[in-house]
Amino acid sequence: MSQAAGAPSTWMRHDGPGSARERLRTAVAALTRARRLQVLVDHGFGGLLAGLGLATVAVLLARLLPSPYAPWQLASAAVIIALAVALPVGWRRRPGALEVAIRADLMLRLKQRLSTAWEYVTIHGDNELADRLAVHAVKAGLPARPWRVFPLRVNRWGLLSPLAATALLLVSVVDLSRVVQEPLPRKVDEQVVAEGQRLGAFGRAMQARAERDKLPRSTRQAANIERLGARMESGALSRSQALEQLRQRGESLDQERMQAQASQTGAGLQRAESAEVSPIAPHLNAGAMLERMQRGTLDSDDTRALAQRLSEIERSGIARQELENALGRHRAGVDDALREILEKLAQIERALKEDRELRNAREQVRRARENLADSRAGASAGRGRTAILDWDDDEGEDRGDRGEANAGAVRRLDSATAGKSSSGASRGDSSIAADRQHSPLRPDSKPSGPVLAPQGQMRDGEVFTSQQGRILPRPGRPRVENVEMSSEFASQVEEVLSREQYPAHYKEFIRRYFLTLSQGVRVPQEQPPGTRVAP
Amino acid sequence: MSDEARLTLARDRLDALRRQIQRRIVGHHDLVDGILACLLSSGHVLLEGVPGLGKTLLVKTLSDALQLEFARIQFTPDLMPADIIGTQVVLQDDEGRRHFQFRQGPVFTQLLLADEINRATPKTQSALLEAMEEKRVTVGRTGHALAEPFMVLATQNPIEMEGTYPLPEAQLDRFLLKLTATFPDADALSQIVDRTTGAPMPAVEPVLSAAEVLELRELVRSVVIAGHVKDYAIRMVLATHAGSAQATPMVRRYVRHGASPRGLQAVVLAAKALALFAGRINVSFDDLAAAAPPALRHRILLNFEGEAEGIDVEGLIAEVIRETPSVHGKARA
Repeated sequence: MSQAAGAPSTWMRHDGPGSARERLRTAVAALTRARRLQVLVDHGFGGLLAGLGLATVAVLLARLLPSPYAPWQLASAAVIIALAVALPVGWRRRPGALEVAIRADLMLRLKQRLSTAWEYVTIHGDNELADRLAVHAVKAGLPARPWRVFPLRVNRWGLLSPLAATALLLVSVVDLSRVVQEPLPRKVDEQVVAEGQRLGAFGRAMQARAERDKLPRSTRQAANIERLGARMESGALSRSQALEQLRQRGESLDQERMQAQASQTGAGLQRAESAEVSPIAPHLNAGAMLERMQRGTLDSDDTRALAQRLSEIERSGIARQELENALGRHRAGVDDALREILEKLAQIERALKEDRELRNAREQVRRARENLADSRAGASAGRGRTAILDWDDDEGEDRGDRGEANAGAVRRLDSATAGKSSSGASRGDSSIAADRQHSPLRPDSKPSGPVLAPQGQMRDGEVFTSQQGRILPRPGRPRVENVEMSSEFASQVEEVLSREQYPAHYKEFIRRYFLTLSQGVRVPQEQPPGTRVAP
Repeated sequence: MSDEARLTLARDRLDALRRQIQRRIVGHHDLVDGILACLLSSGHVLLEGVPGLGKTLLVKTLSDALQLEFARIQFTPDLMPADIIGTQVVLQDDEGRRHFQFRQGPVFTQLLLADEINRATPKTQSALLEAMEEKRVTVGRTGHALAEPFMVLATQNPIEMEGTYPLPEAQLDRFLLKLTATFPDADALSQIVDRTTGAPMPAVEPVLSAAEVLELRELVRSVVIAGHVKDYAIRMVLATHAGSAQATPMVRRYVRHGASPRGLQAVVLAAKALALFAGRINVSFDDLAAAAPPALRHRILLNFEGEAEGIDVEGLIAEVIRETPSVHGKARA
């Protein structure tokens, strides 16, 4: 009995309160170690998955873009960095002993005996209740192998890692040149660009004139034409797109003219049959005369000019007798009648100018369309007059159908404008119209068969295609470089450019000439391309 | 006697009590456990069920198995408060002098069966309030303490609502648990027929005295609840409030008032009793989940939408138990 009391018995060691507390501490410590390792491994798998994902992206980028590092270097660095981040995070998130006890309670269905005992043992100190709770927890069955409670497992991140590794392998070995090709530079139609330059210059000149003469319709249309020219010049439009835009612009101009004529008729103004045959003498300038009258500076030269042009003014709907009476009253010192006549004449003058500007713009648009359509037809003819037309490189499979539609549109345009062109209204391109009128390739008004290729003035011959790339301007920025020009020469430039039809490359040369004049620089002896120097 | 020995003895006594009750009562194990949990938690119980399910018999059997005084009040619409708590009567002594003397009502007992409590007027029902909460009765200016242990077992019929006065919320809150008597299954019905239509009902021997009941009550209160388990109970009660962050979607939509702090006390006390029944000295999540429905079902008030749509409070509580995370954000399955 004394020996038994001296040496602790096995029964006491396992079931006594002190022993239970000890066993509880040991069990919870082992569980905590197992759980922390499990958390660390879980984070390791998470880091591995993230690293493989990053490595996949890095290798992909390294193969697509120039990189100073080899793909394997980037992949290794990505995986190492991800693991280096994930493992410390896992260590920082290591669970506490109480948290582990709570989790073990739930997993082992201990009815919170373990966690309650651990809480009372560690927090509430060394008391009898804590001992009882420890005994109850031990009796409920503490796990002998904590690794079975919190095993090292392959979590979902670990299960996904082989997929990420496969993706990395594929990205590393697959030939990406087939998948990703360098974007080809957009081909620019030089003809569209040239027509854009021409239209833009015309639009600017027209706008300057319209603003000067206070022609609202012309001002609006000029701005639209200039904008369209800028888009064409920038290369943003393909040929078919440019043709479509030109068609719309032409329709808009026609409508504008009709509205202008309707408003003139509504205002009771007699329209001239043709703007070229003006009912008012060009040097009369009724508007300036009216201003002078309002300032009180109308002199005898003005009245004389009016008197000399009585017959011309009569064609404007003002009776000769009425004008003579007005002049007589003016000489007598009463200006009412003459002012009224001058106002009417100025109004007619402005309407005629508006009509002339719009008609001129319509003609420019028509010419641009013809030029584009002709060169396209020529190009298609040079390729052997295939039924399916390959007009634009950036068009899709439906280009043949669209080509026929465009050709039809050109034909409609031709028929609509043929009368005007043949009447001699155009400036400098009446020969083109005449040629088209008598061209053997011009389609009949009632075609008897299917149209194989758009008809035009160009014949079979060598086809030149441009491979020059053009960087498209960013949206929001002006597409055409604006050259600020001195105001004293701006009007002259625009007047010169609008008065005559120049080739596109000449226009730029002329503009540069006036620009150098405005900057006070000596005019360089530069010759435009194709200029022959006289001996 | 050591604590472990007391615990073992308590389990033995409770098992013996259950056996005695089961000599007369067939089935109703949850009902019996609920009543015992209420008895050991110093609470009162409201039994609800259709007539004929054995509610009154259960209470009478319990009184027989406990060496406690028993009284029964059949609540009727004309029952007056004095009929419950007692009244002053005029007595004449031998010398011819008259004086008032308080004659105790049936509330002065240890087990009080308030049968069909919802048939009395609210005035009479409220006569029980002081007795249930403070274990005393005030008549005139004199307070009279009730005997310990004191427990009210009230019954009510949920289907015959005509001529009844539903208990006000204040009085419902006084009941620790509201237990529902369910209809027995076929086997139980067969046993009921055998026991009640043949030989006389078997006698029930008393197995627990009043002192032992009080000792068991102390034992229940000594059951510990860990911090994280207590947090779970708090989250669960908070989840019954529509404005709480823990509220479930159904609670947010259909609940007007959630459980009171007294409801939390009821949940924890009943869970402690259930833990003691299981031989544990600590409360588990499962104990709280088992105690929550009877402790909360009469403390959750539905709003108009909930009443109109006939929302079942049991379903709400089940959702609260299911959605409330026990630990680390993990909801109980």
